[in-house]
Formats: sequence, C-alpha cells, structure tokens
Amino acid sequence: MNDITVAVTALNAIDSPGPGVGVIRALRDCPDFKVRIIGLSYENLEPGIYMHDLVDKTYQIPYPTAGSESLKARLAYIHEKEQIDVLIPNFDAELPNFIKIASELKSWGVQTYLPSMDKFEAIDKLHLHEFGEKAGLKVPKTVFIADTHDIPGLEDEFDYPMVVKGKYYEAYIAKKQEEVYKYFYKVSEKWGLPVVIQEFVSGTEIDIAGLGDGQGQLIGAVPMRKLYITDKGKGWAGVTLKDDRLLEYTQKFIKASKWKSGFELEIMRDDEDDELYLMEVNPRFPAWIYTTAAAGQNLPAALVKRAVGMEQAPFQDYEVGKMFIRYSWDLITDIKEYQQIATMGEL
Amino acid sequence: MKVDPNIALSDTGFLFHASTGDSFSVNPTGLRILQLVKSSKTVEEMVAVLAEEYKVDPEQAEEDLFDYLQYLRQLKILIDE
Repeated sequence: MNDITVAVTALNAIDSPGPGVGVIRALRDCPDFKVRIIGLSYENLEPGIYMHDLVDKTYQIPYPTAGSESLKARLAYIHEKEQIDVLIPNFDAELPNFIKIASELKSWGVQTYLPSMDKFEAIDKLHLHEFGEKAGLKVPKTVFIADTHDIPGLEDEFDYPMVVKGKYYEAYIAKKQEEVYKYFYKVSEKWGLPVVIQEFVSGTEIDIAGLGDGQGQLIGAVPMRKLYITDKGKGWAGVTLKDDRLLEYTQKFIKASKWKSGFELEIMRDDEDDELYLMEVNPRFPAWIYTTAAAGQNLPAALVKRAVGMEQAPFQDYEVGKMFIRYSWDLITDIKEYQQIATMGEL
Repeated sequence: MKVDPNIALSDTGFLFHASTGDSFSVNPTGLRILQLVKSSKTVEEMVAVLAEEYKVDPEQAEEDLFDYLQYLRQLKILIDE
C-alpha cells in the first residue's frame, strides 16, 4: 500500500466550517493508500489542529494577504521537514496564492490538483454571469458595485428583495434600500470591494459536490439538499438526492469550465417552473464533503489518487438518502498544546 | 395518477422524495390510500375499499379521498401518468 503525505488547509471545524476536517476524514477512510496528514492552519484555535486522531502534525501558514512568496517560503520549510506528496487547499481566499505557486510546488515534488488562474477566475463571482451565458447555464442577473453612490440606481435594474454578497463569502437578502446600504457596509468591510448584487430567485437550494479532471471530464458528483440551516446560512444537516437532471447540469458545467479540482455548485431550483439557476460555484470541496465518501464517492481520495497518478475511474453511482447531521463537541486539550502552536507555529 | 417514482414509501408511512429531499409522515389511513394508488386502483375502486375497511358512507369516503388526493398532488407526491 502506498504511503502518501497530504497537506490540508481549512481546519476550522466551527459553526461556519471549513472543509479541511471533512476532507481529512474522507482521506483516512480510503483503503487504497495509507495517509499521513499535515494540517496547515491560520488561527491558533482551529479545532482540527487539536484532532490528533485525524491530523498528524500542524503548521501555521501566513494569511493570504501576505502574498504567494511568503506562503512559498513557509511551505518550503514545511516540505523539507515533512516531504509532502499532495497539497489540498480548501479556502476560496487562499486559492489564488496556491495556484500562483503550483508549478514551483510541483518542481519540489508536491502535487496540487488545481485549475489555472484563468479557469479559476472564469467561474468566480465576478465572472459567473458571463460564464453562465457562454455555457448555457442560467445565472441570476448580477452587477458589481464599488460605491454606495451606485445603490439608488440598483432599483432600475432589480426588484426587491435583492441579494447582497461579499466577494468571497456571505450573502444577505435585502428587502429595501436601507438594507442594501447596511449589507454593503457589512460585506465590503469584511471581504473588500466590489460587492456583488444579485437578482433574488426563490426556490429550493441544492448543492452539488464534485471533482473535475481539468480536461472536461467529471470524476464524480453528489447532489445534496440541506435539511437544517443555521442562522449563518450553513447546512447543519442534509441528504443526498437522486436527480439525473442535476448530474447532467454538472456535466455541462464541467465541460464548459474544464475545472480541475474539487468544487461545489450552489443551485436554486425555482419552485414555480422547476428551472435550475447556478447561484455560485465554490472553487473547492464543501464542508459536507465527507458525506460524498459515505455515499460511495470518496472525492477527496479520488483527487489524491489522480494527483499522484494512481488509477481512479469516474464514479458511476452513489447512495441516495445518505444523511449528515453535524454536531458540536467540546474537544479537551491542554494549554501546553495551545501554547505550542501559538508560540512555535507548529504542533 | 401515480405516486412519483422518486418517492420511497416505507411500511411505517414515511415518504422520502429522492429528487427534492422532502420527507413526509402519513398516518395509517394515508398510507393505505398511497398503497391503493400504487396498486393502480381506480378512484371508484379505492372508494369502495375505504368505505368497506373504515365502515364509512361511500359518499363521505369519496369526498375525503378526493380532498386527500388533491393535497398529495399539491405536494407533488402524486403526479399524472
């Protein structure tokens, strides 16, 4: 059996969880390789750092705002100690830096399974509407504003409610102009400019987790409907669905985007006419990714296998009606561990 | 009229719609009606069965059955053939 060392980010298994812990759990389930996990963290209290049954060793890495050179220098140090085979970044905001240094990482022997920068940008929030038009996928009408002076003019193009979204994360439904101002300040302060304004589509939200090979082939995809949503809009329970139309839709997305890596499509199925709208593409695995492994498509393991050149044919099936229910758990650790990661940057 | 083929119906009256993720619980009478629909009975045949099994007037059974089938259609549990 192959021994593979995989570095994984997004260990923040909190109420608005990062996907890292789910990715790691899926990798540990794979019978085709033995995995050693190197956690890469930003904050000292990311729970995954302290989950020693899942993560073998964790290193702090610099925030994305520090730039790709700073990240590269830190990863060089980590790689020298750990000999990383595959690196899976799981945060939207960190992906540009990892994509920038992907070829250099490859020269060290560290495989990533990431799209090129132009493919990454083609499906981001700023370009999704344009992508949808080319791909024949309906995307709600979207505009970008960088100044509050643009807000009154929005009423010419949109009816209320309208959706106010941050460049990377967060979305709010504004029912009147005052709320547009409020959410503009809220998301621009946190995620910068521009702020995304989108037509509101009512319906049922469906999320599809998948993996593309970069050549237009879909390696696997599992649709899921959230059954319980937290006040932060995060799924706290969900169930896998059977719907061939959703899978055809995902195939269409992959053919048009030639996406390489994990992804999540956020789709709204209009309750009135059953039309599917592509609301957003998350350029990485979602936090519920372990459910795909439980349903028979271990997409994180498939990514690793393809990254290291092991055989992994596209998945053909998955279990419908497989559910996840998230829960809170007080992980007990010692102040010495916290001190170690806080002062030494590794644990 | 038929039960949507995406619906899984358990013996205990739990329904799971595999393409929407919706789930429902029906009482024993509702379960019996769904079983009758699944066995391709006509409305007239269903009325006769329900009137017999539940000892109710056929007219009352027909009225209640009609209301219930309408409700199941609204929930997209029943679809037209």
